[in-house]
Amino acid sequence: MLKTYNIKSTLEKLKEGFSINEKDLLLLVLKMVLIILLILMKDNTVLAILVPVIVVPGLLFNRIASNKYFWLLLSLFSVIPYLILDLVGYVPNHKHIFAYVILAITLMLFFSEKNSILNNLRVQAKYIIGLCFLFAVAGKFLAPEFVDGSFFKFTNTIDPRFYGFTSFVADVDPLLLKENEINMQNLLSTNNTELFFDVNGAEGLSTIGLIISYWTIFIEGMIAITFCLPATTLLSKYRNVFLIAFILTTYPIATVYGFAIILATLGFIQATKPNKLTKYAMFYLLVFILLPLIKIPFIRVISAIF
Amino acid sequence: MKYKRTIIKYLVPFIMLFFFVRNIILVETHHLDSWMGGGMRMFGKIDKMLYRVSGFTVEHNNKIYFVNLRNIEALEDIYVESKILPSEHRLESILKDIKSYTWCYNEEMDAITIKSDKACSEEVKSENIKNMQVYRVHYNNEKNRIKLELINDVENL
Repeated sequence: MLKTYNIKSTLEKLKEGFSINEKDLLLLVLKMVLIILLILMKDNTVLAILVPVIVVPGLLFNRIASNKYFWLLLSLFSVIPYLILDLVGYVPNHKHIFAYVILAITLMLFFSEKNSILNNLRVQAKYIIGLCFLFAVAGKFLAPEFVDGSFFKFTNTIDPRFYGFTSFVADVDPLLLKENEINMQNLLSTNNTELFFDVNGAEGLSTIGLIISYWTIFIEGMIAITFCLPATTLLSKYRNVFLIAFILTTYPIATVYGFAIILATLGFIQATKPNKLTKYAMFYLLVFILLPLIKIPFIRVISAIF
Repeated sequence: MKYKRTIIKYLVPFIMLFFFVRNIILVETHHLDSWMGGGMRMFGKIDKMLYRVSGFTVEHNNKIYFVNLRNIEALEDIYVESKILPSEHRLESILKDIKSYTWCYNEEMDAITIKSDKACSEEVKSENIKNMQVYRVHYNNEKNRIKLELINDVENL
């Protein structure tokens, strides 16, 4: 009886959220971003050496972590490689988001009143997520191969990150998929530009390709709408449901660590309320902590067991 | 004060919009990889830099050889640059860089390679370097066949 009551009260507490000082919450947010930078901002030798030197003191000392000049310095180190020199070297989209997040933090630290920094940051996080998905959906409509399902047919058979999913869902021999990967590598290294190859296992993927395409457009579209709408609208109240559905249906299959971790952090920021960790914020925090696990090929493990 | 607050509030969204529009323009006009340049158009098009082939052609002994830059470790930065944005201007400048290296014909491999200590039968003159080319992967949905398709080709003048 006592045990049932305890579980019930814990669930209720979880539903209501946990109280946390706004200042501590801001520090938590800033340190989450710093952890991401420490792990992933090592695109070249300069960043690989300098970023830890700058970021580690911020992680160790709260006064440094919340110092606006510290973030101005980080802005310089992110804006130059990720926004100014972005067409010279390999800068994936999530690195652009890193720069946007750092810029937003810097702006809020410089121009917000002390007690409204985190509140303004919540709005910025909501806009960054909303626009990111709005552009992603617009981009998908600009790609005919996405709309007709051939993009996923190609990706599921060529990109090794999807092989676990493809062999599980479409019952394709993983060895045949591995052969595709080898053929693709040969094509990319070839000195014979007339070379071609036939893709193994793509025949049975037309329907599943279309289903994934339209699910992606639906879920990304709903995230774009609900995050771009003002927070007072009814639809906006469901934004976390759509973002969580996206995270749960995407990252176990497409293991894009850099994008997933910044998305979880932005999700966390906008899901917190003044002096409160909501149930959604706790989910994003959990995702942030557990994300390294996406390196485990779950679907391959499941299909190996059953 | 209110005006300043509005600018601060919408500055990051405005920068995001700028990069999205720039991405669309550069993809259409300069063959930018649609996954690059902050357009957030990832997982949309098959054509992305990872599936692009970049190289140059060389005329040697009345035969045309294609030299895939992926196989030339010393030119890794050039290789990446040429696949991200294979505009005419960029390819012309890359071609100049390529010509500044010494190339040679490797008889054993029947291929053109960068001059190193390894086997090199004959040196290739820089005027024999003809074109800089970038290809994308083309997926034929009906035949389930993958081949290369030329995106841009710049001639050595």
